[in-house]
This record gives sequence, C-alpha cells and structure tokens, in this order.
Amino acid sequence: MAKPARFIDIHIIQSIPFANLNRDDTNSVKTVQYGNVMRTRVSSQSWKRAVRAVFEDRIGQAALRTRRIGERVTRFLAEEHGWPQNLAERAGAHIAAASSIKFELAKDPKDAKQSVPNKVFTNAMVYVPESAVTELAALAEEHRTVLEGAKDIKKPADKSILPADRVDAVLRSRNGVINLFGRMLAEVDNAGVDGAVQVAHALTTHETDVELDYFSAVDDITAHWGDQSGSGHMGHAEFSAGTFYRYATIDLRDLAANIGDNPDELRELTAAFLSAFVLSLPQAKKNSTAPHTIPDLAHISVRADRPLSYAAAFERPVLAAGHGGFSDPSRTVLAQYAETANGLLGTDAILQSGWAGVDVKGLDALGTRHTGFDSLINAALDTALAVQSAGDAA
Amino acid sequence: MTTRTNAPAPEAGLLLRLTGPLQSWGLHSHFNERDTAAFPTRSGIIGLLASALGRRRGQPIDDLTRLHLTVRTDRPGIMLRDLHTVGGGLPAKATVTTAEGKKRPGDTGTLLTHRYYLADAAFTAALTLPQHNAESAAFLDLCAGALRAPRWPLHLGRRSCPPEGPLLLGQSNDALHHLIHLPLAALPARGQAGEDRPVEFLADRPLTNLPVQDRMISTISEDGSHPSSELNDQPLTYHPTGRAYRARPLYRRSLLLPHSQFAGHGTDQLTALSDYLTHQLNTPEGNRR
Repeated sequence: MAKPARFIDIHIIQSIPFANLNRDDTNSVKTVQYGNVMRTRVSSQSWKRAVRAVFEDRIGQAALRTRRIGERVTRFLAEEHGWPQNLAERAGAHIAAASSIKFELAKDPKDAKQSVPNKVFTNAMVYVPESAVTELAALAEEHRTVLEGAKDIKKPADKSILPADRVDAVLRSRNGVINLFGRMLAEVDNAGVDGAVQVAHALTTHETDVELDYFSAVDDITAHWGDQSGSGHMGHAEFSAGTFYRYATIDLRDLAANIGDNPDELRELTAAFLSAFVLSLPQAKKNSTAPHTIPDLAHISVRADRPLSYAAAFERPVLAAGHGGFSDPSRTVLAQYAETANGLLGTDAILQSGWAGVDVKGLDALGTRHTGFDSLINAALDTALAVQSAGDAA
Repeated sequence: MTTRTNAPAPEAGLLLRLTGPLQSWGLHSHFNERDTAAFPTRSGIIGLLASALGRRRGQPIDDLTRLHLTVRTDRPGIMLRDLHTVGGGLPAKATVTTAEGKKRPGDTGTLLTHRYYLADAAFTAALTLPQHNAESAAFLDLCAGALRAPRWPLHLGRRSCPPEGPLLLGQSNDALHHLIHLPLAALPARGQAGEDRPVEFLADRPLTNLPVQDRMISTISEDGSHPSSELNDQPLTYHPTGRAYRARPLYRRSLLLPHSQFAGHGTDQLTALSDYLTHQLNTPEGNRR
C-alpha cells in the first residue's frame, strides 16, 4: 500500500536585482542575521500577500478582509438594488450590527465627539468570500419592510433587527482562498479556519549590504533657463540585491479537510498555490526598480512524513563564484544539502521529487528535471493526489 | 564548585534539534507586541509536540507536561524586531500617528504590530521522563513517531518559522548524556584551537542531574542547583479562548565543551550529526565516550 502524501514542499532559488521588496518603519530594507552575517529578508507575510493576489486571480475567486462590511453592503444595495441612500445605510448598519462581532460607529470628522449614525465598523476584521456581499444584500432585501420601519443604529448598544444567526452564517462561509490560507475570527463561533500552507521568511543565501541610493530631482525650468544651480529636491532610498531562498509547504490533509470531499478543487487549489508561489513577487517600489524576475530554480517534493526546509543549506553564507554571481553556487549548495539531509532522514518518505530551472545538469539530488514550472507542478500533483486519495481509502 | 560529579540515573527521552533562520518563543505576547524569550519555552515545545500528535487546541496535554525539558544553547542568536502592518479601515484613534503628528483618515489608517524573533539561534533539546517503565517507553515511542511524521507542519514558536533539517535526532535511554555530547550547530572559535568553550544549559529542574565529566565543570560557573529565575510558561491548556500557564523555575548551568564538538554550520553540522548518530546514539547503550 502506498504511503499517503501529506505534504508538498516547495523550495525556490531566485535572484532579485536592486530592489526593496519589503521595508520596515524607517523605509529600510528588511534584514536578518543568519550564519553570523547579515542577509536581506522578505517577511513571510509580505510574500504571502503577493501569492494571495496571484492565487485569487488564478482561481477566479476573491476574499475580502475588512471592518467595513456594513458600508460595503450599503453601497451594493444603493448601486445594484436601487435602494434609497438612507435606507441602504440603515440596512448596512443593521447587517454589521447583527453579527456576533461587537461594533463601533464612525466619528464625525468635524467633531470627534459625535458618531455618524449607520456608519458601523465591526471591531474585528471579517474575512469572507466576496460573494458574502451579495448574500448579505439579499438578506437585507428579504427584510426590507422591517428595515423601513426600523430605527437607525446610533450607538454601540443598539440592537439590529436582523437575525444574527443568518449574518454569522454568511461570515462563516468560505471559498478557496480561505480554505487555503485560513482565517482567524474568534468572535464568530466556528468561523476560524486553520490555514493549510506554511510560508517561511525569504532570505538571501549570502551576505548582503543595504545600499543607500542618493538621488536628486531636476527642476525642468531651472534646467531649461540655466539661471540657478542646484536641484529641486533630493533624498535617499535604500535598496538591496541578492539571491533568495524561499520555502513553503502545503498540508494536504488539512487542505482536503477544509475543502470537504472534492478532489477536483483540491487539485485546483494546490496547483494554483504552487504556481502563484513560483511566480509572485511583492510589489513594493516596483515602479522604481522593476525587479520582475522568475526563479532560477524551483524544487518540489511530495513527502509522506514531514515538511523539510533546506534553509540551513545557506547557514554558511554562499560565496560568489569565481566569475561572480550567487545563483549558480546557491543551487549547487542546495543540492548538496538535500543529499546530506536525505542521507540522515532516508528517502522512503519522498514520494516524488523534481526540479525546473536554468541549470541543465548536476542537480541529481533534487530529483527529476522538468523543462517547465507547469510540468514540475503537474508531476508533483499527479503523485500527491493519487497517493493522497489512496491514503484516504486505506 | 569543585565537587566531584556523581553519576545520576540515566533518563530516557527524545533529542530535538531546534534551528532555523528565525524562531520566536512568545512569553508575554499581547495584541500588537509579540515578544520572544531568548530560548525555547516549555509552552512552545509542548505545543510543538501536541501539534505533531494532532491534538487540537483545548484537548488534554497532561501526559505531555510530565516531560522535562533541558535545552542546550548551541548559538544564542540575536533579537530581531519585525514591523508588520495590518489592515486599514480602523477608526483614526486606533491608528498610528503620521510623521506630521496627524492621524490618517479611517480608510487608510494602518495598524502596526511589532513581532520579535530570535535570528540565527540554534538549540538542541532533550525531553525526558524520569520514570522508567513500559508505559513511559511506549509514550516516548509515540512522541518520536509523531515528530517523525507530524500531523501538522511544525514550527519554532510561530508559523512563519519552520524548523530546518531534521527535528528529531533520536531517542535514547540516556538522553542527557547525548544532549551534552551531540555535535554543536556552532562554529569553532577562531584562533583558540584546542580550548574548551562554555555552553549554556537551561532546564525546568535542577541541572545537577546532568551526567557531566569533571573536565566540563568550570570553576567560575554555578552548578545549576538553584533556580536563576521564574518563567510563566508551564502550559495548562491551549484552549483557544482560555490559554493558561503556570510559573515554573528556570535553572541555568554552563559546561565547558571541547573544541572538536563545535561542528559548524549547515551541511557541516549535518554530516557531523550523521556520524555521531550512527556511531554513538544508535549503538547499544552504555557506549559512552
């Protein structure tokens, strides 16, 4: 009997030129010390958000994370259902107030002591499929007569006339995005969903320096007339370049459990995540640096035992090759580490392993070579999902 | 202390390797300030084991909290503060103040949270049971199996901090002996070849039960018989809405370990570990160097 596939690990080596994909509160490039030297870092949260955008696009579903669900429903009722503005506002407020989440009212911008009636924020952010807006609007439509006779929501103690259980049921609804990435919403019973992917912080395989880019802006009129010297503005920005190691793992059992019995959706979401993880990039300062690279190497393995990060391959910082460049030695070091780790843990639990990238040979420890990322992903899915369902049946 | 070392009874247990670029072992985390202790906490390690075993939050953990945790600090690492922005759409008073001293309007205000990590740290840990019987042996087997094939992906205190490489090094009837002797995930000191170096051990009970050799005892270090402080990290329940912890003492002790035991980084340490596991850990017990 084949061992059940439990985890899909994806490892990526990617070179990113002069850029600042993820910065901190002082606009500095995020860094991390590892193996006693400084590296450039992109936080897991930052890259996960970039992945989510591509992922939502791939599966044609979106999710909303907001405290302003009431206002969103108001706008929908006014624009799509043709409700008068004041009734739509009251309906939106009653929707937001009906949920189990406590709420507050927006303050008047001119007088912070006054609340704005019917402009309700939920105290926690809801995270719902985008279709929740139409469902909540339909619920309001169903109760239109009652809403017409209802009072406005003016203070946090006001009660909604709408049924809390029906609003909560919508807030509990899920789609592919939530099934994959999870949801934290303690305020509504049974609305929490444990995410099925784990994403690590990305960091460079080698020591990096943060570079300070001094810039000045030319004043076109001064330049044209030539009557003054000096620039119109000057400043500086921080950037860094490097070859990154990125890692994520998918928990197939959790994802299958979140979805329910639907093998097609399991395959679709897993494929969309893997492909989004390969091809996404955080968008910070993209217009200043256009850092739109693709991975130099993607390695995927399907495992029956546990996820396995190879970050320590780069604990000893990679040194540039004789002719310069970190990408080539990083790929070699990754393959060497994989071989050592596999020696220690054994390879019985590796059900499928492969890679695709700019190399043509020499990475045997990373499994079968594929010519494209899609073929790499499909091969992993064919094994993982066949063995996953065999495992389920066992 | 120059007292002669006594030979405590060997304890059976598991040996864990806790390394990765980042770890985070929260102690007082609250809302937008997420701190980390300077070493793995009991609640973090027992939580990791519970996760490996597939225990849901709120399920009993009494059997797990019987385990004693002894941690060896291979590399202490450094503290990293990470700024993380959340959301938008908060009321003005709950948002950050801008550089001009003003508040942003409600729909663009963003919440800042600070998350602290331990970067570049490496620990080796032993989870042991003092009593030796068939029940405890079966329990350790169960935990070892779960760490080899965990129910959920494991993490070093926070989900964005996966452990790298092997997590479970092995199982032994004399786990504390191996905790002292396993190769360290640290570079040998430059220019002091041959010199022994102090390595810190931390535990939830007196460290006088470590099977140390006389040459490891430093005259300037305490023997770990008295607690150095107290930590509020003894988990009672991980119930999602009612997590509870109890205080426990923290004991520290420093031992001098030989230069040759510092195996370096990455692949170098894995190779040394592999060697040690083959020749020391996985041979019949009693094979003490």
